[in-house]
Amino acid sequence: MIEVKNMNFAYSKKRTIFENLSLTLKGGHIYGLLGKNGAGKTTLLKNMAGLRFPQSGSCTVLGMESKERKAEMLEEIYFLPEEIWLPEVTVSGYLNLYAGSYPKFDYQIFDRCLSEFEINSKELLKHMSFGQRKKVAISFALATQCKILIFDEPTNGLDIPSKGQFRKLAAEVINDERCLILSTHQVRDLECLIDTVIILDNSEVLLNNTTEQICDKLVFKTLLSLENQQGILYSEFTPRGYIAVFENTEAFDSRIDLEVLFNMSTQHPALIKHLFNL
Amino acid sequence: MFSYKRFSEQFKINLFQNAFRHGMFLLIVCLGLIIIHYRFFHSGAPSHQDLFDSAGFVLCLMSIINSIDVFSKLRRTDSGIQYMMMPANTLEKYSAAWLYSTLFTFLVYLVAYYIIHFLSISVGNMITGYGASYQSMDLSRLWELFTGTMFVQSIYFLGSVYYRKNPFVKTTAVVFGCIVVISIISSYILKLYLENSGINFNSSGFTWNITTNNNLMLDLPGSDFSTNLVEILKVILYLIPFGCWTAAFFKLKKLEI
Repeated sequence: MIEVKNMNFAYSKKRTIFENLSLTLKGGHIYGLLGKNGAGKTTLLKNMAGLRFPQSGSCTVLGMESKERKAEMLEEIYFLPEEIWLPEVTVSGYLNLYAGSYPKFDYQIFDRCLSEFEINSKELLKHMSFGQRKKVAISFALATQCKILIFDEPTNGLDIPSKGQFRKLAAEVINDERCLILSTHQVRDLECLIDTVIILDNSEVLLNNTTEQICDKLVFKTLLSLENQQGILYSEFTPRGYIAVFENTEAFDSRIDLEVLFNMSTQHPALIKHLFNL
Repeated sequence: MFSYKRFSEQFKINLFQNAFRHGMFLLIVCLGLIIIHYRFFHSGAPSHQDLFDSAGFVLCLMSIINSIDVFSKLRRTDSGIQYMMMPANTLEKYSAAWLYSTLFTFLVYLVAYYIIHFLSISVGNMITGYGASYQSMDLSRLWELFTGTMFVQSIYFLGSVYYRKNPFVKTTAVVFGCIVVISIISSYILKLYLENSGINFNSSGFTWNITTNNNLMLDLPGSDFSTNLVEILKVILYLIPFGCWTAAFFKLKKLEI
């Protein structure tokens, strides 16, 4: 669905963001894009959406160059930025104004999302809190039925129950023909939603693997002590004890701790590359 | 491929999003016109007053406001993203913005002008019994008004796409800068001309004395040179809007948020 080939991008000569970056995103996946502040997550998403142009290399969306911003491409891609903008109208006014631009817009999905988020469609958007406005924007994005949904920090501003509702709604709309790309620092919020992890660091992709592939290679264990433990690849102290990462040599089934995986990847990039043959 | 449906969606968004603000401006202009008509009937010599005098100023002002507003979403990153991600190609977005700030604005205000004028004259005649006649603009004046409005609009339209922050102030500053540069160049040309032609002063003012240097291809005011110069300037003035509109399109196409 999205193919980034040998992309180079820099904001200035001194500030290179990507060097020869290549990445392929396929349908039927929920991607979690992780990276430190300034690693280029939003820049990568903007390049995919055609809001920024690579200096060299290419970025294609559904076979179309993203920088050309063809209407056919924009009908199939929805970008929800971290800071959202909504006009000063009611929710239904917003719908009347913008839904017509999306050929596959599903009003039932929108209504369902709104009722799930407990949003009153007659309320003026300017009277809503940031979180409520974000819920309207998320509902709209999901209802567009675009093949590619790009959400930048979608859970920022959402209250605790809404985060769960978001996970539920997002999982519902994704099928084999669609993909959802979530850029986030709130890994705990989306841990159980993400099925493919992409980690950006130092202008390159450190990891681009499904959670299944990661679990095949790594085991995450919580230990009270690290004494007498063999083969620890990485460990972190938490209030609950140590979370240690081991190589999965015995097909052990464990749950990925995204925070630990991210820290391990950024602190030991060579090890991650070696393990995942990058 | 240009899609009329997508274009009309974009136009609808422009229309409804600016409806309140631009509606208020239209209301203010209409009220102003009513006041002008009210004073017309109380001036004592109503038949000598041109009620369309202010039309040029109002149309230029409104086309500037609408040109700046039509790309107002580009001023901020969040709304800019929303605008750029709308499912329409650059040509459709551009055409909708262009149409809204040019022909649509011009026609809306012109129609409003005529409606207020005819209503005010009719009501005024009924109340005062003056029997004032309806005024109208001939085609050449209308064309002048249209080209003048488009000239001003095109400059601010380009400025609105080119400068994401404070486009009105920056464009106005550039326009003034250009006026200063043109004035300096004009005065330099005039100085060159004066150096190559003689001027005699007499009691009734000054008169030109023909000693024009043929190499400079200059001639006297009112003669072929000045006529040609005026024609050239007219062509340039007609070309500037097309240049600005084209530049605005390519700037919008290459705009990164």
